[in-house]
Amino acid sequence: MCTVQPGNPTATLKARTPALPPMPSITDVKRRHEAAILKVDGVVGVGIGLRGGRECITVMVRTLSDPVRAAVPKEIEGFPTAIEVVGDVRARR
Amino acid sequence: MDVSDAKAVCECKFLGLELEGMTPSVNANVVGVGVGIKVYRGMPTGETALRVYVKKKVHPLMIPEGELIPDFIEGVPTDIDAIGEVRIKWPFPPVFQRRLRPARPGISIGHRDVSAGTFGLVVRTATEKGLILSNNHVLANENRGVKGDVILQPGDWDGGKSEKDSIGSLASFVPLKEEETNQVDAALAQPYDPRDIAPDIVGIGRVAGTVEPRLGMAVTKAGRTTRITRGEVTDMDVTLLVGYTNGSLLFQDQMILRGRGGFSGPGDSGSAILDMENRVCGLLFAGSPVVTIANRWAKVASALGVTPV
Repeated sequence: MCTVQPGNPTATLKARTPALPPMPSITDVKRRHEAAILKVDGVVGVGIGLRGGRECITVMVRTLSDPVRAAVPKEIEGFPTAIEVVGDVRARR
Repeated sequence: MDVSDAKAVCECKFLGLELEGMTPSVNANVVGVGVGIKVYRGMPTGETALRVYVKKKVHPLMIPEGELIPDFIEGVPTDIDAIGEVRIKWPFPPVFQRRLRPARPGISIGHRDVSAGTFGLVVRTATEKGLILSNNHVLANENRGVKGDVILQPGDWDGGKSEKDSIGSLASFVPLKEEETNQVDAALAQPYDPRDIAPDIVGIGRVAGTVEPRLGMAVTKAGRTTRITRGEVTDMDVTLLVGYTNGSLLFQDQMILRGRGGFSGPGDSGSAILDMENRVCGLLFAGSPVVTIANRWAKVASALGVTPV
């Protein structure tokens, strides 16, 4: 569906130039990266949350593991990420 | 002879337990046997006695021959103690798990082959005035249900029986998809008698329209298991995998709710999520020990073509 894009080098380069393309929203960034993040073993979900009053990309994991820590950067295109252990998510019947 | 031997004799003669060399028999009035201190006219005498617990004390002349408990058994004095009939403690279940007519949103419901979930809301469509809304996995048994299947209130887990607790039948559901992403886990049931349902949510009241959820919004719900709880929307636009009986399904555009001490538990599926002004914003369907997951109301409304009553 979508592919991982390594950062956005043009964002920093063009920051000083007048012809500025609109900054991508956190929703756009999250949608572009979620398929890749969901492929990481142990990840069950990706969303947008408020943490300490700041919007961030939240990565829900079953249990915290080294592959998860390694695969999720601190920031994605300038937006902070938060890894959260949620356990097993099941239908609540 | 020691007290424990005498007690074994009592157990054999009154309660029908096996004892070598004796024929077991049962005394209908005796509910138990134990060892205690002999009480005479309300005062303990200090003497060890066999306590024979009975349903009720009866005058010796009224007791059929052979059923009278002797004053001494194997040389040990007996003490008759009327404790009544012993039953397991079975507390009267809360309204959320009981049969209720008219049934109201917030209480136990389910397809006859499903454990139990929650009656979410009374909704209307273009053609129907009063339908029961809950999850597909509650009313349609994860796509296995067929239109017309019996819906129980309370659900099977709460003792609901087809003969007496059928409230309606499965009307329609949004199929859960394994190959594609899902937006909602929702289904509708049609009550057999429209007078058997009422729209007021238990402990919350009448729905006052709908609202778009926002991050940080305070929310509440009424559910079969954890009843009335409060929490807040902590995550939105969530894409995640949810475990069902046949495996994991992928959901998009979901919201995560959290509350102090947990916002929901198993059996709360189908609960409507409302803001503090009673406006509907979501439909609860999944969770983990830490989080609760809900569909966005707008997606449920458009998938089924419903409006809250």
